[in-house]
Amino acid sequence: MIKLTDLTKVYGAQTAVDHLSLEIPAGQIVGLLGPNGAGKSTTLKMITGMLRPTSGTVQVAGYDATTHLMEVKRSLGFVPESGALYESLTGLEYLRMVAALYGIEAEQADVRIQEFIQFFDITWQALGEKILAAYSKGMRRKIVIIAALLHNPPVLLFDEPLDGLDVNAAMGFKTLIQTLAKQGRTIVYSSHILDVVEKVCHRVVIIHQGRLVLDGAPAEVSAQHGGQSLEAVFSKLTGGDVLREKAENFARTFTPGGAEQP
Amino acid sequence: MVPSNLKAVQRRALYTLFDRIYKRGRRVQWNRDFNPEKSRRRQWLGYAIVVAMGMLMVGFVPGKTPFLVFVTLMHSFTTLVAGLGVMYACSEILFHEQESDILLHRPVETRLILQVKAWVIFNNIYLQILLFNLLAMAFALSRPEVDARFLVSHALALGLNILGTLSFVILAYHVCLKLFGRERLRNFMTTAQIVAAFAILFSSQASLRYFKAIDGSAWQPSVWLNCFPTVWLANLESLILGLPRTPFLWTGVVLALLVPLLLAWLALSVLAGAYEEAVSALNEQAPPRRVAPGQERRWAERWTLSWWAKIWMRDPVERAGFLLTLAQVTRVRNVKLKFFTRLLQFSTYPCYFMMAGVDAQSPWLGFFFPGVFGLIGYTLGDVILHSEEFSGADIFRFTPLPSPAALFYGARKATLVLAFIPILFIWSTVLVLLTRDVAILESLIPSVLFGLTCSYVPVLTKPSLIFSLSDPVGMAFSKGCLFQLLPMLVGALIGGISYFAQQVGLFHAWVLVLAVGFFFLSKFFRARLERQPLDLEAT
Repeated sequence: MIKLTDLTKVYGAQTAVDHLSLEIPAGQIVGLLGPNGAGKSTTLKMITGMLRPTSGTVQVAGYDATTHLMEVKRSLGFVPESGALYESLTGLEYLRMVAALYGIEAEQADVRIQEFIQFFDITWQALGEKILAAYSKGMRRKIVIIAALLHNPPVLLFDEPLDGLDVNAAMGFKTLIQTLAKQGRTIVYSSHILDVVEKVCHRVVIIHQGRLVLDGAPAEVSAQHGGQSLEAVFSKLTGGDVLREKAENFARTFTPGGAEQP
Repeated sequence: MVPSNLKAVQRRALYTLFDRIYKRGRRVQWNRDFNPEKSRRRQWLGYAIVVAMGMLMVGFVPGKTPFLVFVTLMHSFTTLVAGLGVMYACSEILFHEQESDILLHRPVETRLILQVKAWVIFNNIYLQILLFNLLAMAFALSRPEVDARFLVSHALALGLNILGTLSFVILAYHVCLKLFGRERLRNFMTTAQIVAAFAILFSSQASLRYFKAIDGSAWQPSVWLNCFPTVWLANLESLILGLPRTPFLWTGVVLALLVPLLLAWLALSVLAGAYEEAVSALNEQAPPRRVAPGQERRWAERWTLSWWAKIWMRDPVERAGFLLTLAQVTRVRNVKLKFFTRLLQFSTYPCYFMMAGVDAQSPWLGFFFPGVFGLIGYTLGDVILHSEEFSGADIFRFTPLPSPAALFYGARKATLVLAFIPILFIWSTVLVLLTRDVAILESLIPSVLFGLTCSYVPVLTKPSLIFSLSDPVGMAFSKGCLFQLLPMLVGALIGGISYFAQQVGLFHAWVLVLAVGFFFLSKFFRARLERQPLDLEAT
């Protein structure tokens, strides 16, 4: 469903993504991991067509992103890390606008929105009356997720989707994406919360400095590294294994009993 | 299944979206109790105010002038107002930093987004400008050469005026992107907007001043007048009304039709591809700036650590306010736009006085500056209160500061270094070169004193932390005018008294009175500011 071949993105002297090749079949949830600045978001943005690769190709649902960009975009649902929205619109105005961009009829869109808000515990009144700026962080995240799923796309890309969601909403969301994967949807799940990735994803991909450093099922990865947890493997591969000692040393620089009062 | 009319559906959805964003404005994001219904009702009130503001134009445009001058003045006035409206609309909806995260991954062409945005801006500004011209149009019908055709000709010319202005601004962005590349896009976009705003405001002001000074009785137009775009539109209207058809008129008509359409074609079609590049580039992270070892501190930071900066700003909080202001004014797009556009506009006001007949020999020269410097001082003080960084300002609320005074003092000093002193230097040089007499600088002393005092006023009228207030663009027009008018009026009074004092040989005594007066006034302002509690209520 998603095929990346030698994907590279260069900004000036900095290579954000370096010859990344990856193939994700239908029905699979892939956890995309990496430290800050590893190139995860850049990779996702190249898959969505928001960024043009410096070299290499992106194929989504059989369409090449350079030649059939609109088809690629129609096949995708994307939850960006920023959770950006037009804050001066009400939630309902925003979702109706998004539906129209995918050619969903207004009545059909309203029915679909009703189903989503029921799932996410949002009232129709709150959706129609308040502007998005007045929503809580979790509510805004729910609207961004609804806007990504509204047109029922075969490929879903999530960049830190749980950011701001409460425990119940996060649990519901995890079950939702697992069910969607069973129905044959391809899901890329980028996150820093390794526990969630370990539980939800069929496969884990770790990127470090723009390069692919690990690709495999969570259980296989753990087995290959002597039964270590995903967190320990991640730290080892991305140079974070010295952090514990570094943190302990740094903590010793704090004056016992708090800061000195003038 | 993709519907066959998808593009039309998308166009309608995008139109509704951008129209709402434009009408509600960015400021609505900070109004949690915003009610769309109430906003629609207020919109009608806004339109009524715009019609009433048209009285200004009726008052400004003299009735007994040749038709060409009359209509050119109407268009100059209109361009001034429309130019500001277009600039505001462009900064409101043309470039939204997070728009690529919202729209660019959806199946909609960026070209369509640009065209719909331009259409939204055009329609909204056109409606406002038509309403603004309504009274003047009715007034024009009393002229002997004007009949009902004028209503059509003027409506058409206004449309071309706004199309040209809007396309010019969008084209300025595209050209900057083409010339300077995406790496420096943010800076150049802001510069382009400032330059475009300045060009529009300056040319319309110049046109206003020039045509206002024309004596109607024996005036004959010459071909070079077609240098003014507003004259092209007046020529077009003359043609529609059947006035004598001269080569001058035809030249203007051709330019009036050709230039706006050509600009629109270039901005919205030929170079529209650049817009996609711009919107996606705004969302990209710039490559990290490489800093040589030992050069981690920027020049401004190094400067604030120097011994003489420490003498000028003893309090470290003051120095922090100074650095923060430098960063905001030179890096944050909204602040940069407000700061430099207004300063460019105000600092050129003396040019208009000169165009209106104040020359090097005029005894008035030097005495019309207090109003200008008062306005500049007030604006500097005002800009450093606004940048909508409510959460950023929270850091000051957490820290044990007794009042916002020290931060404001540092910020004020930064604006003096960045703007007040350079403008003072430029005008001092111009005056010395014009008069070839250094003694003229003496006449600027009242202006400097008044300008420095005015810079305290905003924070006293709106007690707040620096950079923590929302954008005043959304502030009521009347209130904005009042705040600008007051320094100008008081400045004019000071200028008038200074001139009189010079004529009667009491100038030095007057300067002394002013200096002492402003010293105590500033002291009073500072004492009040230091008594203000820190604004604890975060927005």
